[in-house]
Amino acid sequence: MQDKLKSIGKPSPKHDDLVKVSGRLNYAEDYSMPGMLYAKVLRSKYPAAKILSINTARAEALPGVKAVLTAKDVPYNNTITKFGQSKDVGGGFEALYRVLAEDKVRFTGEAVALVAAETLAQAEEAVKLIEVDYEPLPGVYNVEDAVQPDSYKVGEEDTNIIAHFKSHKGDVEKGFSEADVIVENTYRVPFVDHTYLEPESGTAWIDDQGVLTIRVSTQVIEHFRGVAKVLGLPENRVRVIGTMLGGGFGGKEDITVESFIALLAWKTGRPVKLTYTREESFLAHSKRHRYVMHYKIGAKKDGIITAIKAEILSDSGAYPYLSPWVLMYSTVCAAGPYSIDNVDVDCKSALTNNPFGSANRGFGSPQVNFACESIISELAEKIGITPLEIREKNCIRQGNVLAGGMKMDRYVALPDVGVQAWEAINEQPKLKPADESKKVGRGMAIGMMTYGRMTFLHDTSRSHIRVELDGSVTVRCGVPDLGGGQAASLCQIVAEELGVPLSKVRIYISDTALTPLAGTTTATRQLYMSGNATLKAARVLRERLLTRAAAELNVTAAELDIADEKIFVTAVPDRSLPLKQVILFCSGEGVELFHEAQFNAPFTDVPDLSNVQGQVHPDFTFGAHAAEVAVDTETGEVEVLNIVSCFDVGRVLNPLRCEGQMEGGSIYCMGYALTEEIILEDGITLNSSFTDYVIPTALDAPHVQSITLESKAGLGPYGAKGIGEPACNSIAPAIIDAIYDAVGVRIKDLPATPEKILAALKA
Amino acid sequence: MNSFRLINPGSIDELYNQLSERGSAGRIVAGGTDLLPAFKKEKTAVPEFVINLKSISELADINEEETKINVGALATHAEIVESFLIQGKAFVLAEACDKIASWQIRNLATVGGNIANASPAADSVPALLVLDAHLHLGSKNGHRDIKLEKYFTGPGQTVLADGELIEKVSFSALAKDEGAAFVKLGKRKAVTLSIVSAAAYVKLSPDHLVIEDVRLAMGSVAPTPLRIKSAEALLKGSKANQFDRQKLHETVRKDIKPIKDVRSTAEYRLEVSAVLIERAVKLAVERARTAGKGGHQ
Repeated sequence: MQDKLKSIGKPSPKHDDLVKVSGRLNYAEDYSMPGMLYAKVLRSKYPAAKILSINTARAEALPGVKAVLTAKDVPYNNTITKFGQSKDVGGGFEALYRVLAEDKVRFTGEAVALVAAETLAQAEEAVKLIEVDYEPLPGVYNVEDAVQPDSYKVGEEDTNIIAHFKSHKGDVEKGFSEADVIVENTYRVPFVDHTYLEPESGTAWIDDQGVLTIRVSTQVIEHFRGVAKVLGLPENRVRVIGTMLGGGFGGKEDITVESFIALLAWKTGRPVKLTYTREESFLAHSKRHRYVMHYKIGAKKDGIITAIKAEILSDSGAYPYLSPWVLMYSTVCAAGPYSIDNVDVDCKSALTNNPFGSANRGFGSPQVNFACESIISELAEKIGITPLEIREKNCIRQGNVLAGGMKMDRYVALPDVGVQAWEAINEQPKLKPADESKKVGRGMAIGMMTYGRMTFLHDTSRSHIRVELDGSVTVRCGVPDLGGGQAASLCQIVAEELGVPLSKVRIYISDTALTPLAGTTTATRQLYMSGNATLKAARVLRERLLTRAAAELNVTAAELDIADEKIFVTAVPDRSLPLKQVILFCSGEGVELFHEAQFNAPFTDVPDLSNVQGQVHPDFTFGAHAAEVAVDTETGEVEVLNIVSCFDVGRVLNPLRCEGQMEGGSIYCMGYALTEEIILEDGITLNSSFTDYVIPTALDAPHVQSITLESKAGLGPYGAKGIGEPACNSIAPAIIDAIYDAVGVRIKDLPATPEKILAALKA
Repeated sequence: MNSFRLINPGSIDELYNQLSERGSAGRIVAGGTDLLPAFKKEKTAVPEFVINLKSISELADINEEETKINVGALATHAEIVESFLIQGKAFVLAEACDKIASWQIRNLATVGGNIANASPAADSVPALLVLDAHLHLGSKNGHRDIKLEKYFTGPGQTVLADGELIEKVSFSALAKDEGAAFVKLGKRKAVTLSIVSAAAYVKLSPDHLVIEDVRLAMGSVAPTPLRIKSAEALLKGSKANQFDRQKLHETVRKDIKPIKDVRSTAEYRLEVSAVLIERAVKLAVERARTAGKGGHQ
């Protein structure tokens, strides 16, 4: 059936595109409720301090103030983080979730108290009247210091180290002794922000059944369970309704405003809205972790890699959140998509008094990919082969075993993606800039990134489809839509399977009370997980409809097909029935015209953390980036002239969305390569605004050529893989490699600012 | 959120009366792109009265009086960029205004506001400094003209007296054999504050071989935008296409006092300042040579 797909693979605009571009879509902040109060959060001004006392009397006395809450008012202030996983994994993976600071603050911007008032101005005023008596503590701001036994302790434990994972294979010392060339470097990447356009926002109220209802911009509606725990309520008394997101990128994977507005609504009995300012958003939500990565790699003269050793240190900031999970991704991806006999990977994550690290597009992969790809390119140069050649010689292929012991028994699009990206960037001769201070260079990198959650989380998703009597179709699926078309892809699958036009499929998403739970929109998992659940449900309904039509047409169901709202005999297409007529037969005869299906990912046990081996993820997406840059040798400025992004996406469901992810991913981490970093001075963020946190603008974004390969070898519907996160994985090392090609300078400390480049040029 | 009373004077006379009457309780707002965010972020105390200039349309005029060009304080950056008069006879100002912030900001922000705010990074200012601009200041008590160069006293600090405002900025139109240019180094191509900016004006000899006169100015390298006078002295009288690069770089370094901030270190600013001046001069020379032949001047 794959040859005659009607909806899959077509560049259909999404159902929500028009409302978005015309400004009519309601985001979380656009919703209000009658009698609504406004909330404001008091945040710590210290990165590390003891809270001696909090006096809320003056704030409470302010006219219009309806509630002032501190840690002592939170029924269960300390709970354990959950992220919608089907199975408790415990251990180091599920960590403390603290709603409001108690005893001591751990980072600047940590929530200390909450206010709800009749007006926003009153709430802002009241926050200023809360008197907190702090005793500043020394704190620890450098993760290399934080791992030392005598360091300042960020939390209540006697060590700052929250996770330590290792993975090894063969004998690295033997491998290095066999090498003709060895390269050893330390790479550093900074904390970076997600910079979604829509800051965190939500409104909570108690409905007429007494259900605490939260309408919020979130990637994880399953946090209703976490909120229920904080308040000590039954889970079915908390409902989360997710709005369409103005971007998430992992930053709305942790709880943001949910507990705050829930507590205030519960306390006051009134609806409560809270929207962060941009500055507050920068301070309050997670960051992509800062990493220090020490790499050593050896190879024979012919370019065959004999050993790789990676020691990785992740700065998890003030609270663990998803740091251990992120570190597990890094552990699996640290040695890259290469077949190397001797591997030693050692990864640690430690608390500091910096902003907390958690999920950010790529989830621990872009950091290690930058280090690994950078050292591979340097190794190639030392040996005297091209960046492409060294990758062709060493990359994994189908049947090989990854460093972490997972056998790649599915198709592996390496080195094809690298070859195609490199050929495409070299199709045109290098531009010769008119300005002689500018030099042009080209570089490349490859990468692997998982889609779907870690298999020991036992991931599941559900979707519900109902066929209406007029032949239209209603889908219900608790998928949060981040703007990537997570909902629209499900509609395409239903349209395909039930033979109806896309315009006749309507979807309801993201409501814990009314849509089947589909799990988080994270981990590049929704097309894979909810796509498969939806496909499963659609095929059950399709089979019912075909079976009923078969009786009418005197054939077997296997001889029938559906397309264009007709059920027809595949061999004699003229013998057909209108779909609507078959639906009416079913309806009249009591055949169920709805179905809910669940899809389960492969399940494994928690791996041995002292030697992570075997399957940790369902599958990988393989890709490559190539970049062309112009470097100004007098100022160090870099202009990215061209980017090629090449991925095996398994199957393109919608070319518009797929290319959108590939272009967006390229630009997302182009900023990581060149301009983006949270600038910290002893735990204080110096650039919590879009003025000084520098992301690329439309003028900085070059043309991105997207090349999609369709192996149909993915685990998703129709052989699709995931593309959302992988799309950003390898652009940073490709740009850094291109800078080297242009001016002979290798930047090992992101971002590659003009200042660093100029200093290296002058060194 | 802090509230204030917005006053919308209908005429210049009413405006000056309001300014005089409100004294320090009042603040002038034009485009509001600096002031309102400062209020919101509590970087500036919110006054009781905010006096809005926007309805006084005569302050937005861009016109030419013989060889002099007047730009009203309320002219927006976008209006300056799009003005044929500025494009033709003082292109450097359009060039600078076009590099400020974003379309949205340029549509609101005014040249008077950019000057009055007195940021060391104000992009219109180096361009106006090399045009040797004068400010026409007004108040209830009359008018006075001062050289723009004398206007700034520190970051956010100026010689503007209470009750006084910038009405317009004036400078001579560029003539034959004259050219000027503005270059800026930011962290990205748009919506960016200058790490360093530089502007140059040159007047060439009739045979275009010698720099007869030169004015140089920079932003973000000192407490105020400033003229780079030792470098001017160095270039004056030198060959237009063969000046002493090394010496220029050394001289520029001596004239500036950059600081470290969240955008750059002082060392980097020192490194690139001379590069930018050199580029501005080269571009200005090129423009002077093609002046009157359809190119930008």
